[in-house]
Parts: sequence; structure tokens; C-alpha cells
Amino acid sequence: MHFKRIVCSLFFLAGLLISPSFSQVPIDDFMRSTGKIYVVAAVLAVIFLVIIGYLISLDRKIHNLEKKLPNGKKNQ
Amino acid sequence: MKFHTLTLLSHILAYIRKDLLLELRRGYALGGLTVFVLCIVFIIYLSFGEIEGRLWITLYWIAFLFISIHTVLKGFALENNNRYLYYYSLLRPEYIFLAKWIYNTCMLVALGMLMYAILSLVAGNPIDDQGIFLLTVIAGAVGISLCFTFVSAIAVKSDQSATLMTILSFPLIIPVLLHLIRLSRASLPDTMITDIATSLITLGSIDLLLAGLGLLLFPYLWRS
Amino acid sequence: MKGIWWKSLTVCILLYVILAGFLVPLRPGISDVSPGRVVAGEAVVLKVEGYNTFFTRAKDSIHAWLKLNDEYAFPAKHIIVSHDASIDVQFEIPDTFPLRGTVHPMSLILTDDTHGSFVLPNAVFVRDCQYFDPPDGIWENVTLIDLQKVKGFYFPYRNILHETIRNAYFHIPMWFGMIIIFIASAWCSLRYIRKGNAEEDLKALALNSTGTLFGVLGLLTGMLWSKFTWGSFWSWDVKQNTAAIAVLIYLAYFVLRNSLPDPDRRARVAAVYNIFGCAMLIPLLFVIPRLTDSLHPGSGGNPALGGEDLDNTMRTIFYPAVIGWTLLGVWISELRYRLLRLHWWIIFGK
Repeated sequence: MHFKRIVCSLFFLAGLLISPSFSQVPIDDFMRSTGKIYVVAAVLAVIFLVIIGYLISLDRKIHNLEKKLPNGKKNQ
Repeated sequence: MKFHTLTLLSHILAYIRKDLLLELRRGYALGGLTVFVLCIVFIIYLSFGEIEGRLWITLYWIAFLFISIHTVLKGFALENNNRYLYYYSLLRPEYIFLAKWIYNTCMLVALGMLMYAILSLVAGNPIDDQGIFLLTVIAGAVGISLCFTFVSAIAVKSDQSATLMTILSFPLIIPVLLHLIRLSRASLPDTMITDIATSLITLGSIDLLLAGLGLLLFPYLWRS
Repeated sequence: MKGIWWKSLTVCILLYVILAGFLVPLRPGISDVSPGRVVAGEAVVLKVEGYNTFFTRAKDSIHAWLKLNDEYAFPAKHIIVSHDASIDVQFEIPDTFPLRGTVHPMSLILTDDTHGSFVLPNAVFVRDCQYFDPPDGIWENVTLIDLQKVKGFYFPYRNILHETIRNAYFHIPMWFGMIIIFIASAWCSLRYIRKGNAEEDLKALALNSTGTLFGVLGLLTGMLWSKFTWGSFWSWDVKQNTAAIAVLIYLAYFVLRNSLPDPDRRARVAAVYNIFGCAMLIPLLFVIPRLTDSLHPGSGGNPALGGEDLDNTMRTIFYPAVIGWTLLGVWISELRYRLLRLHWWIIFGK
């Protein structure tokens, strides 16, 4: 599990480092097109993704807790 | 009422005397702090050579911050928990907080003056209005010692108190520090800041807030 | 499901906020005028770029003025509509101005029966002006200009913001939600140190997690917004700094909890720190930003969240947005709290 997480974060970091070299200007232009409406879309996407990420971590915590429960009590 | 005030004063004074005696008995503490100040000033001087006004003030407050974290935390970490239990059986926790705070304020004012003297001696003194600057140092010592006394009382509850003290106190002290830097800039010769009164009043109200919170919350810290 | 009514209310409010926040159109506005610099006494053709405009529809009713100050303005000679988003306005700039100085910034006023009226402040700079007091016949009194008003449900048009003014429903409520949640958490901590009920401490912890989540979201969305309006992700604006410090205070809260092994002592010390930290938010978030200049509206002595940045149309969505996002935060905290309580029950029994 930890290994996976480390690999994922490494990829994320690599993406962050590489992304400026992918000709930043077109992305910039895209975000500024149509009255910068994509900035609002991106803001909403960030909120959505972060909250989903938080819910996933909550889900995993519940899962770990369920594993701790003795079998008989599971359906209590 | 009069009697009550008197006991309060005498209790606090006794506690402060105890702290001072402890500090003096282990004489290296004061000596260590002096060396610390000299070290910081020396490093600043080596890396910058000539130091202009705004930089001087910023460096002064950064050095002041680190020294005060060190000083205040040491005041709490000196004695072990059993000793504190004994004090709490003798005194009310509010008195201990007040005594600690007054003691720390005096220490910080003394250190601030010492640092001011050393820094002026080594790096020159760009301050135009000495009165305002010294007032700022005193106001700063009051605020910083309030905040740090409280935070170090929290931090000593943990095993890694030094680390915790730094993590807890930095974000909390920034409102005070911003005002201090702003206020002391008013003492520079080419200052643009004129509303010293507003800054002083804001700083004073932050200090009051800190004092009120400290007095209200400190007793709860020790009930465990 | 527990508390189904307020949870469905949350969903409804957020749906309304997202739909209305995206679908309500922006009021038409002027995005650009060129050339920006002209010489007095010349005849010039100003190319006016509109945003969300339908100039072909408004064709004959368009009138334009260049406004000097609150008293004087002069009208356009001729207006050619090229297409919906662009018109050419012809002005004959007079030699003499009823105001001292050689360079004057002038505002462009457009009015017609389709869009109502718009003003672009400092649209053109006129140089080589001469002062002459009884003004020429070309100058008109500003108060006599008949500005058309068109009613409709629009968000205000702001020049740099454009469509990103809609972020008012997604970025700002994060901070409102964060503050409300932190205050609720401090309230729980206060109850804990008075009554010593462990559940209150767990509530405070759960609320603080969500509050910090909202704070991080506010920072991230703010960074994104500032990149495309102020130019960089982090502009060292005073509100950005103090908000980041506020989040740091609460990150320190979690560090503090983790460094205390004994549960009883942990709960008590964390509760005390929580109240202290929450009180320190007052100078941090409400006092310091008002004393310093800032790129944010509502700083440096300006009234917060008022005027044209948040008009009545926006309020009808902004306040529900604050309530909706805060309720979502409470919902998430409730889940977190129930999880923490289960954990507590497993370790210590009920």
C-alpha cells in the first residue's frame, strides 16, 4: 500500500516538474479563452477532486476499522 | 479586598524571585543567551556587511523571536512535573501564569535591550526615533511573552517540547510580529508610516486578547 | 440516513448554486478600446471591443460619449457597427478642455436600448490639451446624458475578472465555511474543557479536519484564480499570507495531538490550544488585512464584499452558496466524527 502511494506521489511530482516544459502558453491561452470561464471550471474541479480525495481517505479509515472489529459484531 | 490584592502580589513576587534565583544560580543560562545574541549579530554582520534600516529591523525581530522562544521554553522546561505539582498546591494557576508572564516579559525586555545595544555597536544604529523603537521593544516583549508563555505551557506536556514549541508558536505569533515590524519601521528616518497610534492600539488589543485567553485557559491546562 | 432533511437541503442548495452560478449570463461590457492614447484636436476612430454584446441588434440606438469628469463629456460623431462584439466610434477631440493640465484620462460611456449602458473608466488618454474655461459647444453636461437602463438577471462585468466573477460562489464560501466550522469546533472544545465529555473533543477534532480541508481548498482555488487574474499563483497578498498562516495554526493542532500519547491529556491540551488558536484567527483574518493594502476587495479600508463586486443579483446566489458549502462541511465532519466515535468505542468501550 505504501509502495503504491509513494509511486503515485512520485508520478505526481514528476508531472508537476515536467508540466512547464509542455509549452505552457497554449494551456494559458486556453484558460483565458471565453472570458476565463475555464478558470471557474478548474476551481470547481479542484474542490470536487479534493473533497472526493478526502472522502476516499475517510472510506479507507472506515475499512481499516471494520477489519479491527471481531467477526461476530460486524452486523450489530 | 486589599488583603486579597496583597496576597496576590506577594505570591507572584515570591514566584518571580524563585525563577530569578534559579536562573542566576545556573549562571550559564544568561551567559549562554548573551553568546547566542552575539552569534546571531556576528552572522548577520558577516553575511551582509553594511545593514540598512529596514533590513536591520527585520533581522532584529527575527533574532528576537528565536531568542525569546528559547528563553521562554527554558523557563518551563527547567523544573520537572513533580515540582510543578507542588507549586500548584501552593498557588492558584492564574498566579503562576501571571508570575511566569511578568518574569518572561522582564527577561525579554532585558534581552531586547542587550541585543539592541550589541547590534547598534556592531552594525550601526539606523534608528531615528529611539523612543518609538524602545516602546516597540517593550510592547513586543509583552505580547511575545504572553503568547510564548502560554504555548510553552502546552509544549512542555509533550516529549518533544522544543520542536512542538516552534511549530505551535510561529503561526500564532505572526499577527504580533507583523505589527511590531510595522511599528518599528515608524522609527526609521525616512518613514512613510504615520499612524503609529492605530498600530499601537491594535497591538495593545491583541495583547489584551492574549492575556485574557491565557488567564482563562491556563487553569484548564493543569487540571490533567 | 441520519438527518436526511438537512442533507437533502445541502444537495439542493449546492445544485442551485452550481447551476445558477454557471448559467446566469454576465452583463455585457467593454473589454478593450484602441487606440488608448490620442492627441487633442484630432478626429479619431476608437475600436471598441465588447464582451457578451449584440451591437448589431442595438444598431441605431447606440450613443457614445467620452467623459472628462463628473461634469463634462462630449458625444461621438459617428458610430459604425462592424459586428456583434465590435464597433467603431468616431470622435472629434476638442482642442480645449474645461480642466487644467495637459493630459487627461477619459472614460467611455456607451448606451443603447438592448444592453443598457456601460462605462469603461480611463479608456483613453488625451494629451496636448489646452485649458479654456467657458467650454466649447461640444462639451455637454454629464448629468443631462440619458443613460438607458435594461433590467435583467445578470452578474456584473468586471474588466480583469470576466467570467471568473463566478468564483465568488466557490472560492469565497470556502473561507466563510472554514471560519464557521472553526468557531463551531472552538465551541465544542469549550464544552469539553468545562464538562470533560470525550465526545465533544472528538467533535472538535472532526470539525477541525474539515475546516482545514476547506482552508486548503480556499488556498488552492485562490491560487488558481489569482494565476489568471493577478498573474501568478502566489502574489504575496496579505490575505493569501494570513489565510496560509491560519491553515498552519490548525496543522499545528494536528501535530500537537499526535505528539501527546495519553488520551485524556491529549484531549485537554488540544482543546485549550484549539480555543486559543481560534481566538487568534480574529487578529489574523479580520484585523491585519484591513490595515494593509491588498489586491483583494475589502482591504485597505475598503468595505468588504460590497459595491459592484457583489451586487444584489450575486447575493441571491452567494448567501445560499455560503450556507450550502458550510452544510457540506458539517456533513463531512459528521461522518468523520462518527468514525472517530466508533474508533473510541472499540478502544475504550462505550
